[in-house]
Amino acid sequence: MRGRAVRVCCLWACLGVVAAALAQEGHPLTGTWFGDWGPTATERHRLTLVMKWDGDKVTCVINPGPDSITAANVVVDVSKWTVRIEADAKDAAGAPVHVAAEGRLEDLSSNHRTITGTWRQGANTGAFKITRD
Amino acid sequence: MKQAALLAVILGVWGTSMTAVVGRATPAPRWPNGHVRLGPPQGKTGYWGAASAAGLVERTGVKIAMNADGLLVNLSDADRVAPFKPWAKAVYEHRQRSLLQHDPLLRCLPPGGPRQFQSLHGFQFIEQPELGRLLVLLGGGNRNWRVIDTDGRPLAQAAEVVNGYYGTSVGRWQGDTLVVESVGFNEKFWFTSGGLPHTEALHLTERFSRPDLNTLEYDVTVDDPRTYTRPWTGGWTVLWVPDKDMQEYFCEEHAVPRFNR
Repeated sequence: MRGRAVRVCCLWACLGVVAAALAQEGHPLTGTWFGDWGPTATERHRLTLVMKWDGDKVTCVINPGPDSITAANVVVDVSKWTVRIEADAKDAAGAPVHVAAEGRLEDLSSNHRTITGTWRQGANTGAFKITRD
Repeated sequence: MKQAALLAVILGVWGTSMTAVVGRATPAPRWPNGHVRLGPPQGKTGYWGAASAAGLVERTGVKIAMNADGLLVNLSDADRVAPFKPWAKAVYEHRQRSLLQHDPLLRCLPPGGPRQFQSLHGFQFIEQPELGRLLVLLGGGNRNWRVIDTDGRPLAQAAEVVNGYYGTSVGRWQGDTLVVESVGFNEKFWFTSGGLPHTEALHLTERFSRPDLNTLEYDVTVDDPRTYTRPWTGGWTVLWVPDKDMQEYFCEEHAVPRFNR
């Protein structure tokens, strides 16, 4: 019982550290973003985007891991805080598929700011929303 | 004619007396080795109090009006605050338009960078030459402290350090000026009031000099090529508060109720 309590405490402590560590006030796109996209409210595909401002451009890795996709281009219009992400990926059959996402950065001051917009992947199109964690 | 002559005499006497006052400024205290002491004179107390500027702006000779929180009187002056990259200017203007309400300092996060020398609650230097370091004790932000190594070690490469609010600092004396270089900052704070942004690439070069007992001159060169188009320099002076110690202050006793870090 005592061991379980200690484990729970450690878990909460770790979550607290992670939450604090991820807050950032630098370039608004820098960070890890979680969310999904899909054509309907029930058909959704998970998204994880890791973005970083390197001084010249924003780099972006979509769904880090064995099947990660490195975005070829990320364009940010800071006058409207719109974001366009383009990448070339492969579908489940290994055929090339182009990814193009256009969205708008909202709640700029929040540590949990969001980007919402339209995600196009090959012939499929749907709404997407990602939240910076 | 007589009145004009009288006025001239009065002004002359006043000017002479002011010169005498200025001329009587108490010299900066020094260590036996001749270095200026940044802390209290031997056997005395005191600390550094109010800064002469509300925010950090590039020193160009042009006065930029802002309130005590670093809020510009005219937002159109943003271009003259610092040589922003486009994203940084947009972020700065957004923070200004939203009246700085998301300032991390309001959530009691530490005032890293130049902001530590703008605290309402003052700061103090503890010089420890025998240990090759200098401590900065901060009266605000939960009585934070910062270490400046003065033992001659090189400045760490930014990639080697764990990024923090105060970075990692090394200092050396150039005549009567302490020159401190710092890297290794995180991106969780605003380095000055008013909401100037920065990235982990921030490299600060700070210069501290004490021309007399009561004055600290603070200059800082901001070099963050991811945020600004070129390095730029600003600064202010800070007044000595003699014969007193910093009062105890804990930010969290006065913080906004929601802690959304």
